[in-house]
Amino acid sequence: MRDREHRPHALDARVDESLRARFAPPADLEERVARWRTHARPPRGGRVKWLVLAAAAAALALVGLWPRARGEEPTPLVVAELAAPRSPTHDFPPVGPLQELTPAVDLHSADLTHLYTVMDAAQRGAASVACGEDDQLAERLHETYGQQVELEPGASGFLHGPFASAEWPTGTILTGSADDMTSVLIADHDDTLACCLRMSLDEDSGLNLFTWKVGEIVLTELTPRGQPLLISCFKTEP
Amino acid sequence: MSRSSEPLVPRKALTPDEFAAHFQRGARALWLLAAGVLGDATEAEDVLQEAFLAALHKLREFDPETNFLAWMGRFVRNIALNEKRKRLRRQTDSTDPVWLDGADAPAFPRAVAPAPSPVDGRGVLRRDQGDFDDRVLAGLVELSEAARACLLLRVVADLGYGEIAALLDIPEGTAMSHVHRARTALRERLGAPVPTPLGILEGEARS
Repeated sequence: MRDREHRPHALDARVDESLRARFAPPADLEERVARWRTHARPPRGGRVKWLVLAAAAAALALVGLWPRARGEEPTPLVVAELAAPRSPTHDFPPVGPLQELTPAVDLHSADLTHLYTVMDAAQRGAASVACGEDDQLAERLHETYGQQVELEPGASGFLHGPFASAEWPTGTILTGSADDMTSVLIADHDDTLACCLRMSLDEDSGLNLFTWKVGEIVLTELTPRGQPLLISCFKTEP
Repeated sequence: MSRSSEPLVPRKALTPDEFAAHFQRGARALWLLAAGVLGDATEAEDVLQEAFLAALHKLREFDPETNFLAWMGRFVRNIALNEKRKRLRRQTDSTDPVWLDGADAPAFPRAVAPAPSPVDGRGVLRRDQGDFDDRVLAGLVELSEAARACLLLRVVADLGYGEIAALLDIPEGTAMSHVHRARTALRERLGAPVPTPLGILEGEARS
């Protein structure tokens, strides 16, 4: 009888040993966490800024984008202008798996529901493709659209990309996740949106659309959230 | 003199550095929680990093008078579950590579030989089983996410049931039950006799 009682304990011990060997956390896990801390800082600004931003962006979405989605003439949006762009001092390497952008020609229809649900980047938001330094992302946008933008400190640690999508060939796409929800931000030149791009979004997609204009660049956020998340990573005031 | 139980000094949110220090102290348990939910260790660190960033973004919502690991556990669980769902979706969407070469799909599943017991007839563990770890892992994958996480946190992190319960947001008794059932399931999977209050189960080692 004693033998029988002993059998499971011996087996348990061996199972435990196996689990400890196979599921040993990395020895330097604490050091890695410390590195995450140095590379990721939350965007500045409190609740007031969030509320103002959300209200303004929601109003913009209603005033500016829904008519465009219905095919009507878009209303010019001017909300925030940045200070004069700085001249780039040196070249930066690409900061993500950005594909070559095709030039904007003719009218293009962007199915935003399709972009959000099918685009692999939007579905993963993997940390392995996190943006590099803030300056690199800003510089990439400057190279693409001819205008400098500024990001909040640590924004590049939260944003992923840039990505490209055939749904929106001229847009630079960034993603970010919080609360188990991924948001997608598409930056594009205002002129391109006005002349050559029409957006469509299924009513039952469960997605909300927010926009923010920074100089000549329009940031469009596609998100299941009730308020924008990624737009706050960009400095929208001079 | 006020009898109010309200604190005289408003609660102060954690600073990002304090958050990182708390996170570092609990990193191993959180990593194991992620590995437990996912069922393997390969992407546990990615989940952990994503949880770190998400929680850092929501730092104002954390009440420093509450359990930090319980709060972080919600982020890790949700992100790990989401990752697992995406992984399943990718597997469902992909074509079975075995059939890509034009070979016909098997008409019926191949018969699988039962794995040999890791203990011999005298209850002594056999030493010539190189695949034992793989079989443990296969058994672990069949457990529920909660049972797997409970077992790993108990065995590898050596956490108490109260700590495990807080991390998974479940009652302490449930955490104990998960560990017990996980062990039983693994024993059955590995082919060992299962002890009961009445001795060995029917059909096992009666000779």
